[in-house]
Amino acid sequence: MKPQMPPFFQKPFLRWSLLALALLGVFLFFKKTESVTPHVLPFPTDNIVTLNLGKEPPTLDPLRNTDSTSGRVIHELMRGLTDFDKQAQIAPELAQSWQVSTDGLTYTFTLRPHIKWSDGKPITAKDFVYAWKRVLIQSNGSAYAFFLFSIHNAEAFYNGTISDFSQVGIRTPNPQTIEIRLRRPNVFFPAMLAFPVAVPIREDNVLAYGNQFTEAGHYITNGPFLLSQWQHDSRIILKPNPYYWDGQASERPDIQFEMIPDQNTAVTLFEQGVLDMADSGTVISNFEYARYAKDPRAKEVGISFIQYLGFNVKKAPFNDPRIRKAFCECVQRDYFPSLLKSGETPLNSFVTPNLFGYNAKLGHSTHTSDAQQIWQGYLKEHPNTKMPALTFTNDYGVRKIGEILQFQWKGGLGVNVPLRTLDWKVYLSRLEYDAPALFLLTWFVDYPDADSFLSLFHSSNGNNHTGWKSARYDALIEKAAMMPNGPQRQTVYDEAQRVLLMQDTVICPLFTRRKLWLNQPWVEGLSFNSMNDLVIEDVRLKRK
Amino acid sequence: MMNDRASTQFSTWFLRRLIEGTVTLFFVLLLTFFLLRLMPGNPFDGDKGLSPLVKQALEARFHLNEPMWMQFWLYLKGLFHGDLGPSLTQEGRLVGDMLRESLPTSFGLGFFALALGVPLGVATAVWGNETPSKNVIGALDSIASLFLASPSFLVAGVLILSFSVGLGWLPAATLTTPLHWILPVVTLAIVPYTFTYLLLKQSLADESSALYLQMKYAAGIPHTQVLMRHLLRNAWLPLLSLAGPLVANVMTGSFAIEVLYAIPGLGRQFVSAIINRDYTVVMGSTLLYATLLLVMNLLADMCIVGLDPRRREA
Repeated sequence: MKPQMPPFFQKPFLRWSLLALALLGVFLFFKKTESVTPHVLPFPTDNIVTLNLGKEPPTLDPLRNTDSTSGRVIHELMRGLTDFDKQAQIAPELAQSWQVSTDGLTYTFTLRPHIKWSDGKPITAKDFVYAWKRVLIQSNGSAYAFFLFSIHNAEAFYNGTISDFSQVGIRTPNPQTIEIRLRRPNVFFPAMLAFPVAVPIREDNVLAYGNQFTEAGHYITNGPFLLSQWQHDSRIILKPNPYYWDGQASERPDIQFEMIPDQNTAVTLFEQGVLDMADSGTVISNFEYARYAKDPRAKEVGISFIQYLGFNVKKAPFNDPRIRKAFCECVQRDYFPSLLKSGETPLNSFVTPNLFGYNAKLGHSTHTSDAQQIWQGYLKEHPNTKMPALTFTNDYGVRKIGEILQFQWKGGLGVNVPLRTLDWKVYLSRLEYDAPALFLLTWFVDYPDADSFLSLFHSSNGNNHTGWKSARYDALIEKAAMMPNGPQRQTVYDEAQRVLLMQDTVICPLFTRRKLWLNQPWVEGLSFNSMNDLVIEDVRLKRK
Repeated sequence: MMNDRASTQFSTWFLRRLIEGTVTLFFVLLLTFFLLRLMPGNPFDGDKGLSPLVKQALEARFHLNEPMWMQFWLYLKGLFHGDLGPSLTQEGRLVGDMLRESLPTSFGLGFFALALGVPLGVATAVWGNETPSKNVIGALDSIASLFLASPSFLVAGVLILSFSVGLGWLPAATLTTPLHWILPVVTLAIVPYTFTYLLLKQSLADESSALYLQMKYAAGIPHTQVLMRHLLRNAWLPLLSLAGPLVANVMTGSFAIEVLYAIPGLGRQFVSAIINRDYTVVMGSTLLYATLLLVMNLLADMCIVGLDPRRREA
């Protein structure tokens, strides 16, 4: 008689191996909770800096870029008239300088002299005009075409109202000069030109290779690096562009982007010295943030990111501003950093502290006693109130936020808020067509200006899922966009935030985040700015 | 030797299988196509919403604004010309190229995993059948149960922690050098090993008590010969009938293994295409998987027919 498949736990071997596995688990668990002890790793001898990109970039065509993975690579390959520096301040890039007319409507950019593409041909104003026209042709499907809508007639050309591109407010009096006329003054326009969608493109490059022009061997670039290899889904290798205007190509190492999707694997590779930098996002998971933050090599920067709670103001009971206020006042934001432990900073306002326009006094802080009275009063008036679910995307970290809020509303208002998770794409489509009554979302700025946060709730913005529209708010946002930074602009933004957060309580900001990164001892000059941009061009390898 | 009648029968059988396969493929495509469109969400939705105009422009570019049947017809038309269409979320990449690029990696991994797992499974099953030691049998069975109960992400995690982090013998991820292949191949080999061991063990046990074996022993045929010529030959059959799905499964990559070891394979591509609603990539991957499954089943059936004369008549 041969033995059959043994029932579990009957065999001593299985029992012992399970016990051994359990012991291993316990050992690893306690080992993990210790602080990081940097291994002494040998300095590498090659001239390559290896970073984790996390996944395959969906595109390297600046026209089509909408995501941060693609943006990270494109930024090293292609530059526009302006760029953000390490402090996320706007700085001249391919433009040497620019002037603004006194009415704030005309910007004149002068290109740096003798700037060249990676094939040695000169970069001229014509390359910018070609790229911008390409973006503004609707059938090309550029998601960020609206970045250029500040330009006179650009939106009309995009919509097909006018068909003659020469009517769009872009002039090139000579190959070194670009004159841009805006439809109305816009103080952050130079910042918008730093975004990939506004970089110049070589027409002959696109004509020669069509939508394959961004492949390695085809792509003609103008940034500090050129695309040497692109093994799809695996790795991208960049080499210094000898024609980049700062003349420091010989100092720069090659950059190798690995596409390692799993953070546990990536962090192992960092510990083994394969990856030269670990950052929260692609390498350090939320679970590991606290441990790595204690490391002496760790650096942190507050980024322009906000996690907020949104109300659909058309759905009961949140069609009543008092209820929105009550729910927001119950939120004890101090719990987020201590429970989530991944670089959260509580935030009441909808502008992050690193930007002009931030005012710590705005937004609801915690007053639970009022809130309970308001809620009880509402329940008396509407005895059949059914509590809708708090809806969010299917992600462990977001679920934790949902659970914290659920707990706080239970304590503060005595209400049971059900939680509902949806697959990411399903969630996005729900938000667009039938936004849940209560939802969790994040916003990351496109350009370092309070406008990039506050214009989100302008009635024309497609990312406003609250169903709320306010002519007064719209007017304030439009007015502030035309004003230079100063006390007057601050007053307008304060007023706008008062309407959005306090008077109408359309959303409830929860927290902002800090970016954490660690460089290997042999790497210097890699850093993040508050736009979450990885500044790579200054990277150098140290030799022991 | 096949006579004329058998050969005609075989051709008819083969032709029938071919037609059945084509019809099955068509329905797989049809179902996948419509189920995909029933899923809420859109390939172009992202963290930052698109303006309706941009979305319309993108949908028009990929014919997503046409009626559903029309889209399916256009897809089939492309397919007849060997065109699987462009990826909807990865600019400028053709689905055909994407599959071609990740196929060698997944097939290579699958091949080595099968080459490691199946012979090891056969060897241990035979050993388990031959040995009188209860302890050996218990240990082999326990290992198989443990493997059966361990998802590949756990196995991968334990292997990385032990051999890469702990002992530092092997690299943790990516496929840069031959050494990098070892851990993923071992992880992937767990499934074919367990599968082969359990099935073969059971069928060896069933066959061992068969009367014809005792006849062979009584006729004085040596044990090794009985084992190789008669016992194994019959015990193979249940394993072979399930080999088609097994091979197809192992060759088309595993999402968990590809994610943990950062391998650019078919499994990862397929899952991320579903998450991103990249309809054409999902269709292409499904087509590839279904075709492979049908071909492997056909090959397995042909092997069975070759091994078992009784089936030729059936």
